[in-house]
Amino acid sequence: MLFAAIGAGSAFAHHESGAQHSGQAQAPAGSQKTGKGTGLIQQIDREKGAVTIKHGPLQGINMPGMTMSFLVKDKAMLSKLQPLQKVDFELTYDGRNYMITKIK
Amino acid sequence: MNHLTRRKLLVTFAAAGAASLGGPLWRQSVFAAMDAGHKTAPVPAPPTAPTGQLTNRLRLPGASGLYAAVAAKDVKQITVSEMNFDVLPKLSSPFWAYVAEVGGKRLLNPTLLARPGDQIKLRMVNRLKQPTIIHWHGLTNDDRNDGTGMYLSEPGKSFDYSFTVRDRAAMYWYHPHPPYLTGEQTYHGLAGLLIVEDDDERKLVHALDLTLGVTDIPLVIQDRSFNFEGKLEYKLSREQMFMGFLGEEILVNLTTRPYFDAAQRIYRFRILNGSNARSYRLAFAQGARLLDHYLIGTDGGLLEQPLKVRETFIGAAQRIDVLLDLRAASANEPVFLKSLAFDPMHNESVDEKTGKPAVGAAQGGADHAAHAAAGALADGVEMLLLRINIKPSPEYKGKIPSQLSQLPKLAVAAGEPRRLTLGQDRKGNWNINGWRFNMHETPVRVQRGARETWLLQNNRASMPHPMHIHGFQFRVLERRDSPAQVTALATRQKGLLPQDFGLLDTVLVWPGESVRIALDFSHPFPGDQTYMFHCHNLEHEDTGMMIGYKVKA
Repeated sequence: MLFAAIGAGSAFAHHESGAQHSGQAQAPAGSQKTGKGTGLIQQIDREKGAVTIKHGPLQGINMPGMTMSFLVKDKAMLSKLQPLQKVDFELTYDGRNYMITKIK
Repeated sequence: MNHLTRRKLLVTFAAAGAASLGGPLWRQSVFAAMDAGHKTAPVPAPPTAPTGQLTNRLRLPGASGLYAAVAAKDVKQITVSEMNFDVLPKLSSPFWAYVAEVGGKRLLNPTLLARPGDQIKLRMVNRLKQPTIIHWHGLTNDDRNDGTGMYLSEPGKSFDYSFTVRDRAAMYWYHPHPPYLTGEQTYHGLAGLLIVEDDDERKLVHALDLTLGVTDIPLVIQDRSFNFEGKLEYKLSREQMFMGFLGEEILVNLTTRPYFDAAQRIYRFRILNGSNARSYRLAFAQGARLLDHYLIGTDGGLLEQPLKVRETFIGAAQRIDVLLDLRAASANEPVFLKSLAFDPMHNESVDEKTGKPAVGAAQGGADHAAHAAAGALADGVEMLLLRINIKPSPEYKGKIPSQLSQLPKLAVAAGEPRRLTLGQDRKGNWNINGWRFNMHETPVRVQRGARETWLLQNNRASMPHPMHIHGFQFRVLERRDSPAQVTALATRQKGLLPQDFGLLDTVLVWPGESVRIALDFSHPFPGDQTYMFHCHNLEHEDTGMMIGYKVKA
């Protein structure tokens, strides 16, 4: 229950701020990491240039599987994507933001 | 963080539409990520229902393949099979299906068609790796053919069914019923429809010029979750078993985010809530406007007269039969079948005597939020189920008949009802009168031919329970102490909902509510017969909210 409350708290704060792109983490900037993964598209926000993906473990980023919203480098990358489509993607993490650089 | 603050936060969070992020799987992911060196955990995105991107053509019964319609008496064998199937477009998933070969065609979960008096003789071959049995949901059968779970087919073995269709025209269904495994097996795909036709039914079909799969549309609503590779996933914690499975996607006829092209005419939708646990508050909407439509039938077939409705609660395993006149809808925008928002009444933590939140306990939807699977759509959220595109079409002159059928005369037993209380032991176990499932016990015994009234009383510290009885259909006599959202849809007659005017095999009983039902235990089967009475929230059933009852010869 305690974990749930903490988790809910951070997500709630994020929601309140209106910044639902969870790629915008608060950690200080560091050296950029690159990673890749596979996942199932849940939602596409073409206006904001974001895609929500239920993904497996991300290689290179050391992140376990979860559902997350990511910004994409170029909104045009979203043009051919559909919800519930399986995708392979690559991303970068600079200590603050996650950014998808390739997705198909 | 103190108790109160935490609860308040969870309630607010649930209200913000992200009710299901607190589950154990999510916790595991987030904290694993923190351990992996992220100073701030990545925050999972809140789950949301689709908001209009319904782009997959609805799957419908055709000549072959999924749901293909076939005369039941022509089906000699059903093989319960594990296979791969594209539940999501172009993505193969492990899937379990009832497979029949008829006339050189391979049918998956075939829609079986029958008439009263038909003899059904078929062999079920079990190719699963676990025992199974088919339950013919809603049909009047002896206990061997009912598929109660007392007779099982082990892996590699078979079971022969032989019975006569004795019931009125209606949309029944068939699904697995092995003890402790019904939820898992149904979830993986095992469910099909059995449609019985009779003369009343034919009159209606003729009057409205209906064709199965074209203008007479069966809709099987189920929620499912997929893993990151698009494969069906059924992994539940003990807390989730206590609540029942809630999926991330709502499927109609195993189609995710479906649409259907319709003409400007009357459509018949026969809707089965085939979900493991989720209830829906169904309505047809065009823009902000809810469309009037007509309830014409329930679990056990046609009502006597059509009843105009705007929305209907439907619990797991229940069926409704409705007519929607699309001539009354604007042709310029789609109509949506949707589930309206409602209070799912997960009131497990309230004080039983006062009905108010127990001291120190989280409440309602927030409590449920803490137990739902990561990413699951919260129970009771508004969601779009099916987009109906209206296409230009030739003039249609069909008119809804004022008289549909005659129901068997309602005979009510004299005397006190048999009381059956739906509750829990506060240790995570649901029960009926304190009884939990034991294959060797029949705590309720009735006399063959007897009429009885059963009073189904759901505790306040409870959640909605769709209660299903095997072997007999029943009528609802009265509802008392219904929650406001149910009362709002009730008629002026004894708190009854429109669907309570039909024959039922399953009734949704809300927390704090009492429902009186009339049963007639007459049947033609000699000898003692043992059936089941249980909650059709399949996780509740599988964890013990089921009792055997004996009909004494």
